[in-house]
Amino acid sequence: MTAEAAFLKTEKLGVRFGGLEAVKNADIGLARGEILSIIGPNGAGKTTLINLLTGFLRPTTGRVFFRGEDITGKEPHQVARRGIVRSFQKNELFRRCTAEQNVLIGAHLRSGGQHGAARTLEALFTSRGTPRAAVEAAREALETVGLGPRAGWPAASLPHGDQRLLGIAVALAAGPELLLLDEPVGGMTAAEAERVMALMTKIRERGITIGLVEHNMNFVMSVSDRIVVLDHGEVIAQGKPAEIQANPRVIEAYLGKW
Amino acid sequence: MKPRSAKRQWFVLALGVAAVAFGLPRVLGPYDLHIVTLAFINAIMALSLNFTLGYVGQPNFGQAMLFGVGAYTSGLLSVRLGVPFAVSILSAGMMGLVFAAVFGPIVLRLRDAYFCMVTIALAQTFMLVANNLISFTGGPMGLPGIPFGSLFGRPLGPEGFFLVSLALLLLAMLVTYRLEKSVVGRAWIGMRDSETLARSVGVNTYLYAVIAYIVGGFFGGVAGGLTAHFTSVIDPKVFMFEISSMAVVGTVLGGSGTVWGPVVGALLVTLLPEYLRLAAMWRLPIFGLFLVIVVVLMPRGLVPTVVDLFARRADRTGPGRPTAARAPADTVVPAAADSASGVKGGR
Amino acid sequence: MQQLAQQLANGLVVGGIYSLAALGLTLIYGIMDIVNIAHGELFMLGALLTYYFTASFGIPFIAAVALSLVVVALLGMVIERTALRPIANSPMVVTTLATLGVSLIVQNVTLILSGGVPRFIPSPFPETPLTIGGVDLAPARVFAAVVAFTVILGVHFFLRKTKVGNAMRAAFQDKEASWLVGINVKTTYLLSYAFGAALAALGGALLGVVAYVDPLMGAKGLMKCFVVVTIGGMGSFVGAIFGGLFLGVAETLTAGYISSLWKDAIGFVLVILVLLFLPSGLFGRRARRA
Repeated sequence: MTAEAAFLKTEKLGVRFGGLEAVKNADIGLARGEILSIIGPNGAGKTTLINLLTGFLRPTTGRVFFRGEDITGKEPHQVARRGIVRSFQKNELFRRCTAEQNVLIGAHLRSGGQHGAARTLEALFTSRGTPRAAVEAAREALETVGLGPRAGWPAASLPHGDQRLLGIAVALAAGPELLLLDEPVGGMTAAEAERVMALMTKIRERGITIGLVEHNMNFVMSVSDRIVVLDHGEVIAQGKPAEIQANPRVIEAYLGKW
Repeated sequence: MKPRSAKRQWFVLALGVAAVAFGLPRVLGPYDLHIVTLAFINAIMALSLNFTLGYVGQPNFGQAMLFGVGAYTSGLLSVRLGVPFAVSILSAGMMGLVFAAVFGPIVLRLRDAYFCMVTIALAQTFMLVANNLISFTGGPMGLPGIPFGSLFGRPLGPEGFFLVSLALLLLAMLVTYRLEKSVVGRAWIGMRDSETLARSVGVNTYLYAVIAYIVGGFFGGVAGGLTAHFTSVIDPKVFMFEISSMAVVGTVLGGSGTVWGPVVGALLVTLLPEYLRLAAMWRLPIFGLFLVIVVVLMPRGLVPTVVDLFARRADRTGPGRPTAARAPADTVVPAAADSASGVKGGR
Repeated sequence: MQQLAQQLANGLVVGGIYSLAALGLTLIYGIMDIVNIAHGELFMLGALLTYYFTASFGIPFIAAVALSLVVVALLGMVIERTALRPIANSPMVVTTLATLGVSLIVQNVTLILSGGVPRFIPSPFPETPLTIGGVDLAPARVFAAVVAFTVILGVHFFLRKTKVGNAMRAAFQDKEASWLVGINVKTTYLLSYAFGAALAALGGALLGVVAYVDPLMGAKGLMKCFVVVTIGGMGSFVGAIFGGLFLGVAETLTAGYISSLWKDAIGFVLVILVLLFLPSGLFGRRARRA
């Protein structure tokens, strides 16, 4: 693995639930500025992998390194603080809030001092409002995904495609250097997926590295610089899209599932 | 966003407060003044619970623990050590805060069902301890003879106590308001809707839950301290589940997660039975019924539902714009109809 | 040693009753995701109704207990249908608030109607203690223990062998999947709540005959159930049984060797210890953690 690829690196990452090893021996590398897709048949462990990378799940073996720092076992909020933010397959949102409020909460890390206690005292005793940086970041995130006009809509009333976009916006508002998207175009029409493809480029242009999990092969092949294929929790292939498409093990993993 | 209108709202509010503060004691007889003061204290209690129950969204059914701690602090300090009123109340609040800081980190490792049970169990434990540590707390007989209190050298009359309670209530409301529209309040609201998402964007949800509990602990203690002086005698029943549940009913009825909701709810819960001349024993089952009805039919509570009704009438911004969601940052002054202004600009 | 065995025996009797009632609570939680705060009042009603049926109506004891179970089960259905089903998809705080409301209603209406004095259920059992294995036990206690353990076993088989029981277990594991395979989730919820209520009522009736009917036993019963499920683990059948027995024995030993004043406190001490070191209890589903 080259030094470039050491932006995000996993070493023999694995997690075991009782008798089942959902992810085993994962050695994955991500280079700064690239778009990496993680694909694999259903149940291959893709979301589990994201959970492991972002602290939502504690690995039973292996390590995760981000920019050289060992972040294995850190809590999700600590991982976010270090610059990795993820979205969710289930499309988590702050449903009772408007789109605008959603991204503002997303901008939490930019909204003040470091420690919660300090922020509480600050809120109580000073007249500093929300830092402009946070408000700007929130608004910008919403504009980037194209939801600017619907800022005042309650999240729950947004159509499905917009809800997924909002999920991405919330993650963006947190100011990540690495964005991990779990099925960003899940349930979208082809037209909506096209727009997300353009969005990926826009995000990359801002210097954000993207890792994504997806089933939509069209999407994956169009946006990815490199692809990692998981099957039964193991990495069975890594490489450029063309290589992956021609890889017999990959083909077997997918076809064998029928 | 709308500076002139906002300033006007504050002005109207200030007028209202002044009217209540100086007008009510003139107009009300001594008994009614007593009840209203009690209502104010209950409102403080409801607001104290509101941080955890309303904003963070976790079922804290044991706020009586902090209430009782405050009550006993004030009781013991004034009876055993002759501490003046102001110090007593402040200490009650501080002890509430301290106990919340000690127990909060433990109980907030849990969520939902376990959290609910643990808060109830803790309050019960405190009641047991208060009952059994007779030499310290006076046991089941309690602590009688707590002085009504004096301020600036002069004894507090009923009007004085009324004003003190009102002042502390306003303080609690102010704290709630400031936290609600700050990054802390937003973190809370985020946690309430989706703790997972909040964590993913960097919110240390454990810490913020503890903060909510601690702030609530302070005001719960204050409510307890005020009650100790107001009723002049306290016993282990200050830790009773009924105290927690009445606070919960008030908060939820009025609208949890808002500034005015718990206040309106607590006022209703305290004043309505008096006004309707309900026998004391019917108070509880009827409020139980109200609770069920509110929860099933009007889950957001009285204040937000009513506010929404008015907002919808005033909202004429054309077709295709869905009904505004409950805006976390601007429910202080109910007249605000522009709920998209959840973002109040910074410096 | 003799005294220890005696204490243990008494502890197991009380523990069996706790297990029974806590089983109801844990089932309701496991199947419906509800913390049933009204559980204590249902427990109390089991005792109170048994009293009324025997003392005021002269119904024979066993029939009175059975009848009170039926009444409480029906009440449970009413509660589920009116207060819980409409909010079935709300977050847990909301449903818990609903059960709180219900408990306030039931507790206080009962207090008003019945006058809130302790009562003794006319016991059909002789007073003279039986001696079993060197330990003296009042026949009433033996009866309570036998009934409790038999019913617990019965519940186990019910859950595994009957159609309704299986539906409950399915809903316990995965509500959505159950619905998908055609299980009528609404009816299952209704029956589950009624079932849990009946278990609570039985526990109450047994306690009523072993001790007495205390008007405040609802609140106390609720606390005991809470302690049991916290120790044993929310949603765990085995946990409820183990926790109940453990608490019963712990309380009796505390009362015997330390002081009866602290008998009730030991439960809470255990709760705090468990929470500090094993938040999901001994057998519980992983407690949702901060």
